[in-house]
Parts: sequence; C-alpha cells; structure tokens
Amino acid sequence: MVSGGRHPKKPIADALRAVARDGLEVVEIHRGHRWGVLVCKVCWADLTLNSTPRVPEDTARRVARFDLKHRHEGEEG
Amino acid sequence: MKTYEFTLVVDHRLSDEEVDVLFDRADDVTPERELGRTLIGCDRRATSLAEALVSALRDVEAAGLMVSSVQSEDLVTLKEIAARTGRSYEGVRLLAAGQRGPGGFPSPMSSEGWTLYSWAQVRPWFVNHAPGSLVDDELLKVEHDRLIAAADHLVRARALMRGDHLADGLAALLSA
Repeated sequence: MVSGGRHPKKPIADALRAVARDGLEVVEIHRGHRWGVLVCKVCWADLTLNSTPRVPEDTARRVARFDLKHRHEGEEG
Repeated sequence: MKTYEFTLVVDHRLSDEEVDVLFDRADDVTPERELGRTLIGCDRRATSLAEALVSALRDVEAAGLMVSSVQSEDLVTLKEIAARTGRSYEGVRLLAAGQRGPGGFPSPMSSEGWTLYSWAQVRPWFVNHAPGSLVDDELLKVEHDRLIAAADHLVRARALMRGDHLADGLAALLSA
C-alpha cells in the first residue's frame, strides 16, 4: 500500500493518494532533491519523485500514468 | 510557450547521486525505470517541440548522462495497423504487399522476422488512399508523434556516431 507519508506538493500528494493500492509502494527517501520513489511491486519498475518539481501537476500526471501502466491486469504470472 | 511531453532514454541505470545532479539541472524531469530501461520523462516549456527536445537533451547530458534514444510509439506491426485503420489483418497485408489498392505502401523498417512499419509513414498513405479508415485523427498528436519518431532516429544516429570522425559527413544527409 502507499504509505501515509505526504508529498509536500498537494497535486502530487493527491495523485499518490489516488493511486494507493496493493500493487504500488511509495518508498520515501528525503535525500537531496529526491522525495521518494513509487515502485510497482509486480515488475519492479519505479518512478523517482522530486520534492520540488517545477510544475507539480506534471509530476502528478506522471504518477497517474505510472499507475495505469502498471496495473498488470490479465497478465500471466 | 507551451509544455511539451516526451521521454528520453538514457544508457544506464541512474545512481542516487546522478538523480540528484539531474534534478539540480532540470526540475521538470521524472526518472523512471522499467524492463531494464532508464527513462527520463520530460515536461518542458518551450516555443516548439524541437526546442524542447534539444534543451532537455542538453540538460540531461550536462548532468553526465548519455541519451540513447527518444521513446516513440512509431514502430507498428501489420496487426496494429489493422487495428488503427479498422481493417482486417489480411486486408492490410494485401495493401502492404501491393496485391490490393493503389500500391506505394511504405516499406517496412525491418526485413526479417517481425515486420515493423513506421506509423509516421503509413498514416499519410491511408490519408491519401483511404482517408475514411483512420481512427486517430487528432492532428496535433499526429504531428507530435511524427516529430518524436524523427527525433528518435536522429538521436539514435547521434549516439551511434558519437566520437566518430565520419559523423559530420553523415549529418549532411539531413539537408541533402
């Protein structure tokens, strides 16, 4: 499940909350510019999240797209 | 100015330090790792897609990374062409083989095994010869995808010829 940690930019925090499900995990890092990583627990793809992106809505859109791309529904295995 | 979305592919998995350097250079990128590939999603403000691509590529490489290609959905199978044009696989196969229709179907990009075509080339053929069969008619997206396909070829060629003294000679092909 997505953790209870909250990204400082509201659009990204909202996007992470919207994609919260068993197959995705948020690993918070809080180091340098890196706020954390969104990980697909099926194929282990990941998306690294900046803590201060120029346009948070753009990152939020990428979070939503990552979720859609990694639903793995109907896949074997 | 508008925001252009595209994805650059770099040649290795990023270390934590490289991600920090990259975020220092560009706060409009989102690194992604999937199927052994490292992708750099870009949401760049610019006056044109070409300007956005060039400036993003420079920023990514200024961070010490090497861009190997631009992610593109351009290569399609006959089955995918059939789906996009609402035709049967066999119908499209006959068009591609010149055994039906006016001929002049774009040549495949590959010759052995999986036969792949460039959608940026195939789509205009259908516009000219069977305009009613196209499903996707959003012109801005079509133009975006065409430019991304061309940029992918150019960036791949650039990566292939990096440091090669013959690169300048080949660059003349663009204006030949």
